[in-house]
Amino acid sequence: MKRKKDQMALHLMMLPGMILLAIFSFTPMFGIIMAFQNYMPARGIAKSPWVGMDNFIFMFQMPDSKQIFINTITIAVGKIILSTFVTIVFALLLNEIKNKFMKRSIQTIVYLPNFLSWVILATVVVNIFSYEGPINAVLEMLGIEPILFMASNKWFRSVLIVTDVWKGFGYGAIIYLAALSGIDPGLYEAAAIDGANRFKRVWHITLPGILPTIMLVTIMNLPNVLNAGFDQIFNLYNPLVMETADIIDTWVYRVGLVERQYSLGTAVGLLRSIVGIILMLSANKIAQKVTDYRIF
Amino acid sequence: MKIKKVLAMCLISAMVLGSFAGCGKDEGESTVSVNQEDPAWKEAMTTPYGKYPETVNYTLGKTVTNFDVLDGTKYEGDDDVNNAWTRYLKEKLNVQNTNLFEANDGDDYEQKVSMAIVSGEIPDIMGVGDYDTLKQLYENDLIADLTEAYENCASDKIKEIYDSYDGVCLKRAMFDGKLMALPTTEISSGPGILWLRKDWMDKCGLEEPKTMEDILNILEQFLVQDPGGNGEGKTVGLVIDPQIAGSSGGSYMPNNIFTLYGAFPKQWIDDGNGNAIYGSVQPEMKDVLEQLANMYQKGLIDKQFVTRTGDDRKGLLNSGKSGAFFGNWWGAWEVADSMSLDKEARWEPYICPVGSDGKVTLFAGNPNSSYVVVRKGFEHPELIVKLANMQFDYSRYEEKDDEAYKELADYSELNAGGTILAMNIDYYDAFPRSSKKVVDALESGDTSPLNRHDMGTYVNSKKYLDSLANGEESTSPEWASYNSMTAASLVAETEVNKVTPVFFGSTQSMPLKWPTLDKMEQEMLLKIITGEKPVDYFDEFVTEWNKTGGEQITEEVNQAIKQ
Repeated sequence: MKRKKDQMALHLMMLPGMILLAIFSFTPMFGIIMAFQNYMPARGIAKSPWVGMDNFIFMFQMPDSKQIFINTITIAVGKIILSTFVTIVFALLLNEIKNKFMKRSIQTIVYLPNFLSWVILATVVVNIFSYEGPINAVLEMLGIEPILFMASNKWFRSVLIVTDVWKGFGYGAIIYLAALSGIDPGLYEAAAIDGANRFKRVWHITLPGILPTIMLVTIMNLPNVLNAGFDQIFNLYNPLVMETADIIDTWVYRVGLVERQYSLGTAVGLLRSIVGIILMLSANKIAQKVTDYRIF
Repeated sequence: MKIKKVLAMCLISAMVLGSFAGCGKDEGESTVSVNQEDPAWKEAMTTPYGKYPETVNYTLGKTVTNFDVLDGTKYEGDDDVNNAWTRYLKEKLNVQNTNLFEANDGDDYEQKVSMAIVSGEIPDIMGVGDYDTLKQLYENDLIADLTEAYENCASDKIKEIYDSYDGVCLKRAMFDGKLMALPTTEISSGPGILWLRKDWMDKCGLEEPKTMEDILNILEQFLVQDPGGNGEGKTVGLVIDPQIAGSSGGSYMPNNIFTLYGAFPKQWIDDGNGNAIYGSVQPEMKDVLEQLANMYQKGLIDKQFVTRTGDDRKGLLNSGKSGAFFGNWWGAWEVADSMSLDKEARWEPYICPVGSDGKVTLFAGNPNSSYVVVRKGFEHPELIVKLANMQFDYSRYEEKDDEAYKELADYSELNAGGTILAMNIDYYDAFPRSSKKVVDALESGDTSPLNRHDMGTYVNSKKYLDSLANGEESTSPEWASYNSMTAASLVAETEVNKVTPVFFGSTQSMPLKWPTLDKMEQEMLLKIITGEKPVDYFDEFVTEWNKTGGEQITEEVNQAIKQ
């Protein structure tokens, strides 16, 4: 009985969070109904006519739906792969720095862009990549023709991926740094005595040590395969690069909000969530099979 | 334990239900209840200028007004609910507004309106920026029928003004024979105007442009001779909007170049046989695109126009990086700051390039692009008409009381906003009418033909000219105000060809298909102009456009105009 009482207190502490979740995440889910209706705001969900799967069918018949899916997945996967790689490498490098002051300073500096919204960063990015910006200045010095990155279908996706990783890797590294500090220093000493050099120690001790964390982060990232980052793209794109950068979210914004096709927007959002859940569940299963580690 | 669990569940469900309730419609009731039979009320509710016996409060959705210009004057501290206009209306009609929401003009405001519609909580009176929204409001039964209110309360002048549009204007706000909104009257914005740095032209020894060749030459000399001293290759060509073209009189849109070649981008025009065709997919577009691509190639068009924002464009022109843009007669306002950065800077308006007949061709804009509506259930639907009477008729033409008018005149002189209805109701040819009168008065010194409305412009212009004569420096707003007016009188004096598009609304398939078609069109325009695709890519676009729904929408548009 005493144990149960303890748990009661814990449950009570969870209550505010659960209430918030109920209000902001569960309640709006009733809106999913709109995906199967021709929703008219003034009539509300109760009185809008039902249209079955029409919204979903239209979505696949749309001429640019293929392009939008390809763009979304390419950009999102590019971001996931590059950010995982950069974050881990950065965490490992930072971990090797022994000077505490340097370590802290670097961590803070790379952490900063994470706090700026894309509305602000977009202006910075556009200027950096403009004809007058530093990147083109360097290219000019090297004798290369200047490139208008923000208007080039060849470069725009890369700019998106790189700037997104730049913004987020400092924040992402924190979780790895925590995992790194959890590795038993005795292992390193033993390996050093056995004659393992630095790279061998990283390969055989550090990486296996943080593997569960890597799996966790990757699994948490997987549902984002259909989420390529609305804020960033919306603030950076222009019609010239829509061919390579128009993603599901920007499309939903234009059709759903600008043209007020709420039902269609909801249908696309619902489909995206379903695919996200399937991906997450299967990634969890695979992780369990391969590394014998699972998060739920 | 169980009790607690139940309690928690109750709490959660209460919150859930509570948030549902929040989604419901609020039937906001007006505080004053009215006895219809009371003669004083009846009088107020059925006459153009009658004053309400008790204060009528109403909520408003409006665009943000910048009251900063009033700082340092005796009006400092005025705001949306207490300013010259609200005080005037309180005095004349005994009405008082509160703002339900306010937002910046344009997208921000549209979004607020959309949100208001979704939540079902719309203000008693609000502006609506487009026809589709108006239609949606009507179909969802959210707005009041104004037919009777207009019949009873619209002043003779307001009726006369609406009639100057041959009924076209009011008709657009009618659904099933009922007037559901007061439409803004879109006074003709006139032809597109090429604004050029006159001081640069003088430095380079260039003449006033007439034809396309003249324009190309001037733009090229601006780059080659670098009269702005920006350094080699640093001067930027013609500043244009990434939307390229399509709104009549649109700022930064080289519409004139399109119409020179007989192309009417983004317009539904008559093909000569009474059928509507979409201008952007007609073969005339190819020649224009070739010309523009050429200009872009040579840098005569801003090389980075695709990624520029509105602020960037203004910055380029005001800082002397570029000396050319297409605008309209009020384009002077866009470059008003140049003078404070460079005392030599002088901008001149030119109506060009002219075709073989010596005239510029323009396509007319929507006769009414925006509307004001009244919430269904608001007790005083006639109020909107009475406000319009006050704002666009009484204060402009009838007001005899100088003291009452003083505040409004001060506001006008200070260029402060504050008017309640974000619209304009004025004669179709209001702007040639007014500017010609002011220019004549400035020449003759006789101000008797000027009404209150013109008088504000006159006072500003006079002050500007006097200070110039005294060798004083003028402020940017004075300069812009005066030059807008002279540009306006230039428009009034210049003969142009006018093409009126035959359709402005929306059809059944448009909401779903237009975003895609619009995106295709915009991609095509930008790709060809920036040289990413050859001009022949246009043909591919047309085929694709028709296949993707363009053909179907064209049919729908034709059905709509034949109804």
